[in-house]
Amino acid sequence: MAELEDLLARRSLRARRVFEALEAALQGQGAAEIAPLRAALGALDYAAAATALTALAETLGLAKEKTA
Amino acid sequence: MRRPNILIVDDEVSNIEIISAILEDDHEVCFATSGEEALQVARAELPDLILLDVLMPGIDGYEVCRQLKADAVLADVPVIFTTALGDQEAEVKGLELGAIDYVTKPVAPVILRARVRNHLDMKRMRDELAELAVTDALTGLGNRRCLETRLAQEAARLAARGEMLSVIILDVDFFKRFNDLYGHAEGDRCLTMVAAALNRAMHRSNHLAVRYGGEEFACILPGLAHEEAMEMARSILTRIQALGIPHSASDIAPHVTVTAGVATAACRAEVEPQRWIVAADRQLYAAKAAGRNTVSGRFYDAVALAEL
Repeated sequence: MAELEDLLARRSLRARRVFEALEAALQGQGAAEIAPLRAALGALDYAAAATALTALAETLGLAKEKTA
Repeated sequence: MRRPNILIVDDEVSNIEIISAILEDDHEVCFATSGEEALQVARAELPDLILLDVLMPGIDGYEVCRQLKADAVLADVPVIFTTALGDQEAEVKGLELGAIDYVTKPVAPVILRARVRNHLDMKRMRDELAELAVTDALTGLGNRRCLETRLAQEAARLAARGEMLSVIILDVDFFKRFNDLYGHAEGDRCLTMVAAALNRAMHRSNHLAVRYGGEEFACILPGLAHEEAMEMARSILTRIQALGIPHSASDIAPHVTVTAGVATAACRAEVEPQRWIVAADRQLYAAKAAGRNTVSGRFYDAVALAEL
């Protein structure tokens, strides 16, 4: 998740591959937050993706500092 | 080996998708969807190559290119314009602004890959040549050109807040006698060992040791007060003595020693960076006159430095 956050900040297109790995690793957890994250990445709207990632982290009970 | 980083700039997400699909397997790819964002990402990521759309809302590709070429850090990043425009006038304008190439959309994958590869190869070679131009071949330290460039950069940066800049110039004592006695191969080995010891003494990332020429070395020490720079010079002398390189032709010691001159002054925009070299050189001669294997230094005010 920290890697994804970094790639979003750097406007890296590798973020989408890292997202796919993250989605697979979560095995359905945070599904409600995963959908907007996937949509934002698909539209290359990285600001929205970063917001969705923060929401996902909160849902999963991961404090921001743990993902940084 | 690091994968080259390519910045794609296009206001159409579908165009970014198409180009990234062509390049993503062999490159790190980042993107921007506006001219303003392109400049931000370029400054943050320092890409190896930029694929730049011409027609964008806000700052267009031409203006982005103009600003990139005016930026000292980004000016050498190759820019390839990508646009649906096919007219010669637009192509000439892009090339005149400093773009290295021009491709029209829809892009042919094979052609785009080949052009990107060629321009990345050329950039790598240019970067290597640029590095060689500021590197001393024997010691691997920076050379005199490196010193002059870095000194000018640091003096300008520090002048904004009137901060201190110190320069040390060092000379290997009786080096001609060393070469005459032990031969040039041993002379080169001696200089290489002295250079390595000097480099090890540079503790801060912005401190720089260079080979100034022959058996002379110099250090640029931004942000050091005069007494700290003097202490640094003394520690360098100790380090070089500790190498224990035999020098039976020296009048001072049975091993290689160096003499150092130190000049410190607060940076001012009106004082030429070269003044620090002149001042440190004078202190070096004072140290030689005092018997070598010693340090002489002075804190200069701006007037005294400018009058040298």
